[in-house]
Amino acid sequence: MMIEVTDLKKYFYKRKGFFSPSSDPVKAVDGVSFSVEKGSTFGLVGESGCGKTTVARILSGILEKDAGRFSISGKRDMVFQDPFGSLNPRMHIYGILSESLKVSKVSPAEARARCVEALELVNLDPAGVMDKYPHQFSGGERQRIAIARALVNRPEILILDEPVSSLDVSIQAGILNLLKDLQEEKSLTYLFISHDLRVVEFMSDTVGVMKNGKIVECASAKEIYSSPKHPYTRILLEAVPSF
Amino acid sequence: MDTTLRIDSLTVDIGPGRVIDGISFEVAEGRILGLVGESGSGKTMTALAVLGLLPEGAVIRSGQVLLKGNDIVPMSPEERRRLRGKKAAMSFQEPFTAFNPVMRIGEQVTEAMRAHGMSRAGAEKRLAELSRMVKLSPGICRHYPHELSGGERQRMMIAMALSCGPDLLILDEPTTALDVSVQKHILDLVSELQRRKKFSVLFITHDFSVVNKIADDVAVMKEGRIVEKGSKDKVLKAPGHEYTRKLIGCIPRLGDTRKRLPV
Repeated sequence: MMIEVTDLKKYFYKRKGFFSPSSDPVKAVDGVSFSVEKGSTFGLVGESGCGKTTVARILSGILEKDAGRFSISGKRDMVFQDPFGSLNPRMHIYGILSESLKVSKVSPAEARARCVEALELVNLDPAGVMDKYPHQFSGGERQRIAIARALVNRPEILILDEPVSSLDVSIQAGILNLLKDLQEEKSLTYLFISHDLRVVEFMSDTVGVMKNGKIVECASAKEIYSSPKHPYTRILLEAVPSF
Repeated sequence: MDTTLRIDSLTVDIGPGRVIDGISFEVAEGRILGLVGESGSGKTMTALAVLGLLPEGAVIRSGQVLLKGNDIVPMSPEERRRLRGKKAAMSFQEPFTAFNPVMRIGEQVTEAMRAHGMSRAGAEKRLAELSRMVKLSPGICRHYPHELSGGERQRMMIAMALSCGPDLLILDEPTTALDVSVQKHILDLVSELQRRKKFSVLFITHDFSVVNKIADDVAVMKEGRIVEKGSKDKVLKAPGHEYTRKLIGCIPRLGDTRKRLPV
Protein backbone atom coordinates (compact mmCIF):
# COMPACT_ATOMS: atom_id res chain seq x y z
CA MET A 1 0.00 0.00 0.00
CA MET A 2 1.30 3.43 -0.93
CA ILE A 3 -1.02 5.31 1.41
CA GLU A 4 -2.45 3.81 4.57
CA VAL A 5 -4.69 5.93 6.78
CA THR A 6 -6.13 4.60 10.05
CA ASP A 7 -8.68 6.36 12.21
CA LEU A 8 -7.39 9.82 11.34
CA LYS A 9 -8.83 12.69 13.37
CA LYS A 10 -8.57 16.45 13.23
CA TYR A 11 -10.74 18.73 15.36
CA PHE A 12 -10.80 22.49 15.12
CA TYR A 13 -11.64 24.51 18.20
CA LYS A 14 -13.39 27.80 17.81
CA ARG A 15 -12.49 30.08 20.67
CA LYS A 16 -15.36 32.29 21.76
CA GLY A 17 -13.33 34.78 23.79
CA PHE A 18 -10.14 35.05 25.78
CA PHE A 19 -11.53 33.80 29.07
CA SER A 20 -14.57 31.86 27.98
CA PRO A 21 -14.19 28.11 27.51
CA SER A 22 -13.84 26.91 23.95
CA SER A 23 -17.01 25.68 22.30
CA ASP A 24 -17.61 22.21 20.89
CA PRO A 25 -14.95 21.35 18.35
CA VAL A 26 -15.64 21.15 14.65
CA LYS A 27 -14.87 17.53 13.83
CA ALA A 28 -13.37 18.17 10.40
CA VAL A 29 -11.91 14.68 10.15
CA ASP A 30 -13.48 12.21 12.54
CA GLY A 31 -12.01 8.75 12.25
CA VAL A 32 -11.12 8.34 8.59
CA SER A 33 -9.48 5.13 7.35
CA PHE A 34 -8.57 4.06 3.83
CA SER A 35 -5.65 2.71 1.85
CA VAL A 36 -4.42 3.28 -1.68
CA GLU A 37 -2.60 0.69 -3.78
CA LYS A 38 0.40 1.55 -5.90
CA GLY A 39 -0.49 2.92 -9.32
CA SER A 40 -4.18 3.33 -8.49
CA THR A 41 -6.42 6.30 -7.83
CA PHE A 42 -8.42 6.75 -4.66
CA GLY A 43 -11.21 9.27 -5.15
CA LEU A 44 -12.41 11.14 -2.11
CA VAL A 45 -15.75 12.76 -2.86
CA GLY A 46 -18.07 14.87 -0.75
CA GLU A 47 -19.78 18.22 -0.45
CA SER A 48 -18.16 21.38 0.84
CA GLY A 49 -17.25 21.20 4.50
CA CYS A 50 -17.15 17.41 4.64
CA GLY A 51 -13.45 17.35 5.53
CA LYS A 52 -11.91 16.09 2.30
CA THR A 53 -9.46 18.99 1.98
CA THR A 54 -8.45 18.59 5.63
CA VAL A 55 -7.51 14.97 4.87
CA ALA A 56 -5.43 16.19 1.92
CA ARG A 57 -3.72 18.82 4.03
CA ILE A 58 -2.81 16.34 6.76
CA LEU A 59 -1.43 13.81 4.27
CA SER A 60 0.51 16.62 2.56
CA GLY A 61 2.11 17.58 5.85
CA ILE A 62 0.55 21.07 5.89
CA LEU A 63 -1.62 20.29 8.93
CA GLU A 64 -0.89 18.23 12.06
CA LYS A 65 -3.23 15.37 12.81
CA ASP A 66 -4.88 15.15 16.24
CA ALA A 67 -5.16 11.37 16.39
CA GLY A 68 -4.86 8.25 14.28
CA ARG A 69 -2.09 7.05 12.00
CA PHE A 70 -1.08 7.40 8.41
CA SER A 71 1.85 6.13 6.43
CA ILE A 72 2.96 7.23 3.02
CA SER A 73 5.44 4.94 1.30
CA GLY A 74 7.08 7.15 -1.25
CA LYS A 75 7.75 10.72 -2.23
CA ARG A 76 4.56 12.79 -2.37
CA ASP A 77 3.62 16.11 -3.87
CA MET A 78 0.48 18.20 -4.18
CA VAL A 79 -1.63 19.98 -6.79
CA PHE A 80 -4.21 22.46 -5.53
CA GLN A 81 -7.51 23.72 -6.84
CA ASP A 82 -6.74 27.29 -7.69
CA PRO A 83 -4.03 27.67 -10.31
CA PHE A 84 -4.22 31.44 -9.81
CA GLY A 85 -3.58 31.45 -6.09
CA SER A 86 -1.12 28.58 -5.95
CA LEU A 87 1.57 30.02 -8.25
CA ASN A 88 3.61 32.94 -6.91
CA PRO A 89 2.81 35.83 -9.28
CA ARG A 90 6.20 37.46 -8.78
CA MET A 91 8.28 34.45 -9.79
CA HIS A 92 8.90 33.25 -13.33
CA ILE A 93 7.94 29.69 -14.09
CA TYR A 94 11.49 28.38 -13.82
CA GLY A 95 11.74 29.92 -10.36
CA ILE A 96 8.43 28.36 -9.32
CA LEU A 97 9.38 24.92 -10.59
CA SER A 98 12.92 24.86 -9.26
CA GLU A 99 12.18 26.33 -5.84
CA SER A 100 11.59 22.99 -4.16
CA LEU A 101 14.72 21.53 -5.79
CA LYS A 102 16.86 24.08 -3.97
CA VAL A 103 15.84 22.51 -0.70
CA SER A 104 16.92 19.09 -1.86
CA LYS A 105 20.33 20.51 -2.96
CA VAL A 106 20.03 19.61 -6.62
CA SER A 107 22.73 21.21 -8.81
CA PRO A 108 21.58 24.08 -11.08
CA ALA A 109 22.20 22.05 -14.23
CA GLU A 110 20.23 19.12 -12.87
CA ALA A 111 17.45 21.45 -11.70
CA ARG A 112 17.12 22.89 -15.18
CA ALA A 113 17.00 19.43 -16.71
CA ARG A 114 14.32 18.35 -14.25
CA CYS A 115 12.19 21.42 -15.01
CA VAL A 116 12.45 20.77 -18.75
CA GLU A 117 11.47 17.15 -18.18
CA ALA A 118 8.49 18.12 -16.02
CA LEU A 119 7.19 20.71 -18.49
CA GLU A 120 7.50 18.23 -21.35
CA LEU A 121 5.50 15.71 -19.33
CA VAL A 122 2.60 18.17 -19.07
CA ASN A 123 2.84 18.97 -22.78
CA LEU A 124 4.17 22.50 -22.45
CA ASP A 125 7.10 23.79 -24.49
CA PRO A 126 9.86 24.44 -21.90
CA ALA A 127 11.65 27.10 -23.97
CA GLY A 128 8.47 29.12 -24.39
CA VAL A 129 7.40 28.82 -20.76
CA MET A 130 10.29 29.03 -18.31
CA ASP A 131 10.98 32.77 -18.43
CA LYS A 132 7.36 33.85 -18.30
CA TYR A 133 5.19 34.74 -15.31
CA PRO A 134 1.96 33.02 -14.17
CA HIS A 135 -0.32 35.86 -15.35
CA GLN A 136 0.79 35.23 -18.91
CA PHE A 137 -0.95 31.86 -18.94
CA SER A 138 -4.55 30.67 -19.17
CA GLY A 139 -6.18 28.72 -16.35
CA GLY A 140 -5.54 25.38 -18.04
CA GLU A 141 -1.88 26.20 -18.70
CA ARG A 142 -1.43 27.29 -15.11
CA GLN A 143 -2.84 24.01 -13.87
CA ARG A 144 -0.37 22.19 -16.15
CA ILE A 145 2.39 24.30 -14.61
CA ALA A 146 1.13 23.41 -11.12
CA ILE A 147 1.27 19.72 -12.09
CA ALA A 148 4.77 20.19 -13.53
CA ARG A 149 5.84 21.78 -10.26
CA ALA A 150 4.65 18.69 -8.43
CA LEU A 151 6.49 16.45 -10.91
CA VAL A 152 9.98 18.04 -10.64
CA ASN A 153 10.54 16.14 -7.41
CA ARG A 154 9.77 12.88 -9.22
CA PRO A 155 7.06 11.92 -6.74
CA GLU A 156 5.43 8.51 -6.58
CA ILE A 157 2.25 9.87 -5.03
CA LEU A 158 0.24 12.92 -6.05
CA ILE A 159 -2.37 14.47 -3.79
CA LEU A 160 -4.75 16.28 -6.10
CA ASP A 161 -7.21 18.60 -4.35
CA GLU A 162 -9.98 19.66 -6.76
CA PRO A 163 -7.44 19.98 -9.59
CA VAL A 164 -10.04 20.70 -12.29
CA SER A 165 -12.81 22.45 -10.39
CA SER A 166 -12.03 25.96 -11.57
CA LEU A 167 -11.56 25.02 -15.22
CA ASP A 168 -13.85 25.07 -18.23
CA VAL A 169 -15.08 21.62 -19.28
CA SER A 170 -12.95 21.47 -22.43
CA ILE A 171 -9.84 22.38 -20.43
CA GLN A 172 -10.86 20.00 -17.66
CA ALA A 173 -10.98 17.12 -20.17
CA GLY A 174 -7.39 17.83 -21.23
CA ILE A 175 -6.12 17.88 -17.64
CA LEU A 176 -7.96 14.65 -16.73
CA ASN A 177 -6.48 12.90 -19.78
CA LEU A 178 -3.04 14.24 -18.86
CA LEU A 179 -3.33 12.94 -15.31
CA LYS A 180 -4.32 9.50 -16.62
CA ASP A 181 -1.39 9.46 -19.06
CA LEU A 182 1.08 10.46 -16.36
CA GLN A 183 -0.25 7.81 -14.04
CA GLU A 184 0.21 5.13 -16.66
CA GLU A 185 3.65 6.31 -17.71
CA LYS A 186 5.08 6.75 -14.21
CA SER A 187 2.81 4.36 -12.31
CA LEU A 188 1.85 7.20 -10.00
CA THR A 189 -0.53 6.77 -7.10
CA TYR A 190 -3.25 9.40 -6.81
CA LEU A 191 -5.38 10.68 -4.00
CA PHE A 192 -7.97 12.53 -6.07
CA ILE A 193 -10.26 14.89 -4.19
CA SER A 194 -13.32 16.43 -5.79
CA HIS A 195 -16.92 17.39 -5.21
CA ASP A 196 -17.81 16.31 -8.75
CA LEU A 197 -19.11 12.75 -8.77
CA ARG A 198 -18.73 12.39 -12.51
CA VAL A 199 -15.11 13.43 -12.51
CA VAL A 200 -14.37 11.15 -9.54
CA GLU A 201 -15.95 8.17 -11.28
CA PHE A 202 -13.95 8.89 -14.43
CA MET A 203 -10.66 9.04 -12.54
CA SER A 204 -10.90 6.58 -9.66
CA ASP A 205 -10.39 2.87 -9.02
CA THR A 206 -11.67 3.11 -5.45
CA VAL A 207 -13.96 5.78 -4.02
CA GLY A 208 -14.60 7.03 -0.51
CA VAL A 209 -17.72 9.13 0.07
CA MET A 210 -17.20 11.60 2.87
CA LYS A 211 -19.75 13.37 5.03
CA ASN A 212 -19.28 15.31 8.28
CA GLY A 213 -15.69 14.16 8.73
CA LYS A 214 -16.40 10.48 8.16
CA ILE A 215 -16.17 8.14 5.19
CA VAL A 216 -19.72 6.83 4.98
CA GLU A 217 -19.06 4.39 2.16
CA CYS A 218 -15.89 3.09 0.59
CA ALA A 219 -15.75 0.61 -2.28
CA SER A 220 -14.57 0.14 -5.84
CA ALA A 221 -15.77 2.88 -8.17
CA LYS A 222 -17.87 0.33 -9.99
CA GLU A 223 -19.73 -0.71 -6.84
CA ILE A 224 -20.24 2.81 -5.53
CA TYR A 225 -21.73 4.00 -8.79
CA SER A 226 -23.72 0.93 -9.80
CA SER A 227 -25.02 -0.17 -6.39
CA PRO A 228 -24.54 2.51 -3.76
CA LYS A 229 -25.22 1.14 -0.28
CA HIS A 230 -25.30 4.23 1.92
CA PRO A 231 -28.34 6.53 1.70
CA TYR A 232 -26.07 9.59 1.49
CA THR A 233 -24.25 8.17 -1.55
CA ARG A 234 -27.63 7.62 -3.17
CA ILE A 235 -28.73 11.18 -2.40
CA LEU A 236 -25.54 12.54 -3.95
CA LEU A 237 -25.88 10.41 -7.07
CA GLU A 238 -29.53 11.31 -7.53
CA ALA A 239 -28.70 15.01 -7.25
CA VAL A 240 -26.37 14.87 -10.27
CA PRO A 241 -28.45 16.19 -13.16
CA SER A 242 -28.70 13.32 -15.60
CA PHE A 243 -27.43 13.97 -19.06
CA MET B 1 -45.84 32.70 -29.54
CA ASP B 2 -44.90 36.09 -28.11
CA THR B 3 -41.33 36.89 -27.34
CA THR B 4 -40.26 38.42 -24.04
CA LEU B 5 -36.74 39.14 -25.22
CA ARG B 6 -35.49 39.41 -28.76
CA ILE B 7 -31.86 40.22 -29.46
CA ASP B 8 -31.16 41.11 -33.04
CA SER B 9 -27.61 41.29 -34.51
CA LEU B 10 -26.19 42.75 -31.33
CA THR B 11 -22.53 43.75 -31.45
CA VAL B 12 -20.64 45.11 -28.44
CA ASP B 13 -17.03 46.29 -28.27
CA ILE B 14 -14.87 46.96 -25.27
CA GLY B 15 -11.94 49.05 -26.42
CA PRO B 16 -10.44 47.31 -29.45
CA GLY B 17 -11.97 43.95 -28.50
CA ARG B 18 -15.29 42.63 -29.80
CA VAL B 19 -17.02 40.88 -26.91
CA ILE B 20 -20.37 40.25 -28.59
CA ASP B 21 -20.29 39.68 -32.31
CA GLY B 22 -23.65 40.03 -34.02
CA ILE B 23 -25.74 37.69 -31.90
CA SER B 24 -29.45 37.06 -32.43
CA PHE B 25 -31.75 34.95 -30.31
CA GLU B 26 -35.03 35.18 -28.50
CA VAL B 27 -36.61 34.06 -25.27
CA ALA B 28 -40.21 33.14 -25.93
CA GLU B 29 -42.87 34.03 -23.39
CA GLY B 30 -43.03 31.60 -20.51
CA ARG B 31 -39.99 29.61 -21.69
CA ILE B 32 -36.55 29.00 -20.25
CA LEU B 33 -33.62 29.59 -22.58
CA GLY B 34 -30.29 28.13 -21.51
CA LEU B 35 -27.38 30.22 -22.76
CA VAL B 36 -24.34 27.93 -22.61
CA GLY B 37 -20.70 28.68 -23.19
CA GLU B 38 -17.25 28.60 -21.63
CA SER B 39 -15.66 31.43 -19.71
CA GLY B 40 -15.03 34.49 -21.82
CA SER B 41 -17.60 33.50 -24.43
CA GLY B 42 -19.72 36.59 -23.77
CA LYS B 43 -22.65 35.10 -21.83
CA THR B 44 -22.54 37.52 -18.93
CA MET B 45 -21.93 40.49 -21.26
CA THR B 46 -25.08 39.50 -23.14
CA ALA B 47 -27.05 39.53 -19.87
CA LEU B 48 -25.63 42.91 -18.89
CA ALA B 49 -26.54 44.30 -22.32
CA VAL B 50 -30.15 43.21 -21.80
CA LEU B 51 -30.25 45.07 -18.51
CA GLY B 52 -28.45 48.12 -19.86
CA LEU B 53 -25.71 47.49 -17.31
CA LEU B 54 -22.70 47.06 -19.60
CA PRO B 55 -19.45 48.10 -17.92
CA GLU B 56 -17.89 51.46 -18.62
CA GLY B 57 -16.01 51.40 -21.90
CA ALA B 58 -18.40 48.93 -23.52
CA VAL B 59 -20.05 50.29 -26.65
CA ILE B 60 -23.04 48.82 -28.47
CA ARG B 61 -21.96 49.08 -32.12
CA SER B 62 -25.17 47.83 -33.67
CA GLY B 63 -28.24 45.75 -33.15
CA GLN B 64 -31.39 45.75 -31.08
CA VAL B 65 -32.35 44.46 -27.66
CA LEU B 66 -36.13 44.25 -27.56
CA LEU B 67 -37.78 43.72 -24.19
CA LYS B 68 -41.46 43.07 -24.80
CA GLY B 69 -41.04 44.87 -28.09
CA ASN B 70 -39.24 47.95 -26.72
CA ASP B 71 -35.69 48.46 -27.98
CA ILE B 72 -33.51 49.42 -25.02
CA VAL B 73 -30.45 50.33 -27.11
CA PRO B 74 -31.49 53.92 -27.93
CA MET B 75 -32.89 54.52 -24.43
CA SER B 76 -31.39 56.90 -21.88
CA PRO B 77 -29.88 55.44 -18.70
CA GLU B 78 -32.88 56.76 -16.78
CA GLU B 79 -35.38 55.02 -19.07
CA ARG B 80 -33.43 51.78 -18.78
CA ARG B 81 -33.34 52.09 -15.01
CA ARG B 82 -37.11 52.25 -14.93
CA LEU B 83 -37.38 49.06 -16.99
CA ARG B 84 -35.04 47.11 -14.74
CA GLY B 85 -36.87 45.17 -12.07
CA LYS B 86 -40.24 45.30 -13.83
CA LYS B 87 -39.34 44.15 -17.34
CA ALA B 88 -36.10 42.29 -16.58
CA ALA B 89 -34.20 41.44 -13.42
CA MET B 90 -31.05 39.51 -12.80
CA SER B 91 -29.67 37.22 -10.15
CA PHE B 92 -25.90 37.44 -10.16
CA GLN B 93 -23.41 34.62 -10.14
CA GLU B 94 -21.78 35.09 -6.76
CA PRO B 95 -24.41 35.92 -4.19
CA PHE B 96 -21.74 36.49 -1.57
CA THR B 97 -20.17 39.42 -3.37
CA ALA B 98 -23.40 40.67 -4.92
CA PHE B 99 -24.95 41.43 -1.54
CA ASN B 100 -23.78 44.30 0.62
CA PRO B 101 -22.06 42.59 3.56
CA VAL B 102 -22.95 45.26 6.13
CA MET B 103 -26.66 45.43 5.39
CA ARG B 104 -29.28 42.98 6.55
CA ILE B 105 -30.60 40.78 3.71
CA GLY B 106 -34.17 42.01 4.15
CA GLU B 107 -33.19 45.67 3.93
CA GLN B 108 -31.41 45.04 0.66
CA VAL B 109 -34.45 43.42 -0.88
CA THR B 110 -36.84 46.12 0.35
CA GLU B 111 -34.43 48.82 -0.82
CA ALA B 112 -34.89 47.56 -4.38
CA MET B 113 -38.68 47.63 -4.05
CA ARG B 114 -38.67 51.09 -2.43
CA ALA B 115 -36.57 52.38 -5.32
CA HIS B 116 -39.42 51.29 -7.57
CA GLY B 117 -41.86 53.41 -5.59
CA MET B 118 -43.33 50.89 -3.17
CA SER B 119 -44.32 52.07 0.32
CA ARG B 120 -42.31 50.87 3.32
CA ALA B 121 -45.23 48.85 4.67
CA GLY B 122 -45.95 47.37 1.24
CA ALA B 123 -42.30 46.41 0.78
CA GLU B 124 -42.16 44.75 4.20
CA LYS B 125 -45.24 42.73 3.42
CA ARG B 126 -43.92 41.75 0.01
CA LEU B 127 -40.57 40.76 1.59
CA ALA B 128 -42.30 38.18 3.78
CA GLU B 129 -44.16 36.85 0.74
CA LEU B 130 -40.98 36.66 -1.30
CA SER B 131 -39.00 34.78 1.32
CA ARG B 132 -41.79 32.23 1.65
CA MET B 133 -41.92 31.99 -2.12
CA VAL B 134 -38.26 30.90 -2.22
CA LYS B 135 -38.96 28.52 0.70
CA LEU B 136 -37.19 30.43 3.44
CA SER B 137 -38.61 31.59 6.73
CA PRO B 138 -39.21 35.37 6.75
CA GLY B 139 -37.05 35.52 9.90
CA ILE B 140 -33.99 35.05 7.70
CA CYS B 141 -34.39 38.62 6.43
CA ARG B 142 -33.01 39.97 9.70
CA HIS B 143 -29.68 38.23 9.09
CA TYR B 144 -26.55 39.52 7.40
CA PRO B 145 -25.36 37.87 4.17
CA HIS B 146 -22.44 36.03 5.83
CA GLU B 147 -24.85 34.33 8.22
CA LEU B 148 -26.63 32.59 5.35
CA SER B 149 -25.48 29.45 3.55
CA GLY B 150 -24.63 29.60 -0.15
CA GLY B 151 -27.98 28.10 -1.09
CA GLU B 152 -29.91 30.54 1.12
CA ARG B 153 -28.06 33.50 -0.35
CA GLN B 154 -28.87 32.30 -3.86
CA ARG B 155 -32.56 31.95 -2.87
CA MET B 156 -32.64 35.50 -1.49
CA MET B 157 -30.92 36.71 -4.65
CA ILE B 158 -33.71 35.13 -6.69
CA ALA B 159 -36.30 36.60 -4.31
CA MET B 160 -34.78 40.05 -4.84
CA ALA B 161 -34.81 39.64 -8.61
CA LEU B 162 -38.48 38.61 -8.49
CA SER B 163 -39.49 41.42 -6.13
CA CYS B 164 -40.95 43.66 -8.83
CA GLY B 165 -42.54 40.84 -10.82
CA PRO B 166 -40.29 40.90 -13.89
CA ASP B 167 -41.32 39.53 -17.27
CA LEU B 168 -37.80 38.20 -17.76
CA LEU B 169 -35.63 36.69 -15.05
CA ILE B 170 -31.94 36.43 -15.87
CA LEU B 171 -30.00 33.89 -13.83
CA ASP B 172 -26.23 34.04 -14.22
CA GLU B 173 -24.66 30.71 -13.16
CA PRO B 174 -26.98 30.47 -10.14
CA THR B 175 -25.79 26.99 -9.16
CA THR B 176 -22.12 27.03 -10.08
CA ALA B 177 -20.78 27.73 -6.61
CA LEU B 178 -23.15 25.28 -4.91
CA ASP B 179 -22.96 21.64 -3.85
CA VAL B 180 -24.94 19.21 -6.02
CA SER B 181 -27.70 18.61 -3.49
CA VAL B 182 -28.20 22.36 -3.00
CA GLN B 183 -27.97 22.89 -6.76
CA LYS B 184 -30.85 20.46 -7.25
CA HIS B 185 -33.06 22.41 -4.81
CA ILE B 186 -32.34 25.71 -6.57
CA LEU B 187 -33.14 24.23 -9.99
CA ASP B 188 -36.37 22.72 -8.67
CA LEU B 189 -37.28 26.08 -7.14
CA VAL B 190 -36.66 27.96 -10.39
CA SER B 191 -38.77 25.46 -12.40
CA GLU B 192 -41.59 25.63 -9.91
CA LEU B 193 -41.65 29.44 -9.69
CA GLN B 194 -41.46 29.74 -13.44
CA ARG B 195 -44.44 27.43 -13.88
CA ARG B 196 -46.45 29.32 -11.27
CA LYS B 197 -45.59 32.89 -12.16
CA LYS B 198 -45.18 32.33 -15.92
CA PHE B 199 -42.19 34.63 -16.37
CA SER B 200 -39.53 33.91 -18.98
CA VAL B 201 -35.99 32.94 -18.02
CA LEU B 202 -32.59 33.54 -19.55
CA PHE B 203 -30.49 30.93 -17.75
CA ILE B 204 -26.74 31.39 -18.14
CA THR B 205 -24.51 28.42 -17.41
CA HIS B 206 -21.46 26.51 -18.57
CA ASP B 207 -23.02 23.20 -17.55
CA PHE B 208 -24.97 21.17 -20.11
CA SER B 209 -26.42 18.88 -17.47
CA VAL B 210 -28.01 21.89 -15.77
CA VAL B 211 -29.42 23.04 -19.11
CA ASN B 212 -30.79 19.56 -19.72
CA LYS B 213 -32.63 19.68 -16.42
CA ILE B 214 -34.13 23.12 -16.67
CA ALA B 215 -34.22 24.63 -20.15
CA ASP B 216 -36.79 24.50 -22.96
CA ASP B 217 -34.49 26.06 -25.54
CA VAL B 218 -30.72 26.32 -25.81
CA ALA B 219 -28.27 28.74 -27.38
CA VAL B 220 -24.56 27.89 -27.46
CA MET B 221 -22.12 30.77 -27.36
CA LYS B 222 -18.46 30.85 -28.33
CA GLU B 223 -16.14 33.83 -28.65
CA GLY B 224 -18.97 36.34 -28.75
CA ARG B 225 -21.06 34.43 -31.30
CA ILE B 226 -24.05 32.14 -31.08
CA VAL B 227 -22.88 29.00 -32.84
CA GLU B 228 -26.08 27.02 -32.42
CA LYS B 229 -29.60 27.50 -31.09
CA GLY B 230 -32.80 25.53 -30.99
CA SER B 231 -35.02 23.43 -28.79
CA LYS B 232 -33.24 21.59 -25.99
CA ASP B 233 -33.97 18.19 -27.47
CA LYS B 234 -32.54 19.13 -30.80
CA VAL B 235 -29.39 20.85 -29.56
CA LEU B 236 -28.51 18.32 -26.87
CA LYS B 237 -29.53 15.12 -28.62
CA ALA B 238 -28.54 16.01 -32.17
CA PRO B 239 -26.12 18.93 -32.00
CA GLY B 240 -25.53 20.43 -35.42
CA HIS B 241 -22.38 22.41 -34.68
CA GLU B 242 -18.99 20.84 -34.10
CA TYR B 243 -18.32 23.06 -31.07
CA THR B 244 -21.54 21.91 -29.36
CA ARG B 245 -20.62 18.28 -30.02
CA LYS B 246 -17.16 18.88 -28.60
CA LEU B 247 -18.46 20.58 -25.46
CA ILE B 248 -21.00 17.84 -24.81
CA GLY B 249 -18.50 15.08 -25.55
CA CYS B 250 -15.79 16.24 -23.18
CA ILE B 251 -17.93 16.04 -20.04
CA PRO B 252 -17.57 12.82 -18.04
CA ARG B 253 -20.98 11.28 -17.33
CA LEU B 254 -22.17 8.93 -14.67
CA GLY B 255 -21.46 5.41 -15.87
CA ASP B 256 -18.98 6.67 -18.45
CA THR B 257 -16.89 3.81 -19.84
CA ARG B 258 -14.52 5.94 -21.89
CA LYS B 259 -10.87 5.73 -20.92
CA ARG B 260 -10.08 9.17 -22.32
CA LEU B 261 -12.13 12.25 -23.05
CA PRO B 262 -12.13 13.82 -26.50
CA VAL B 263 -10.33 17.16 -26.43
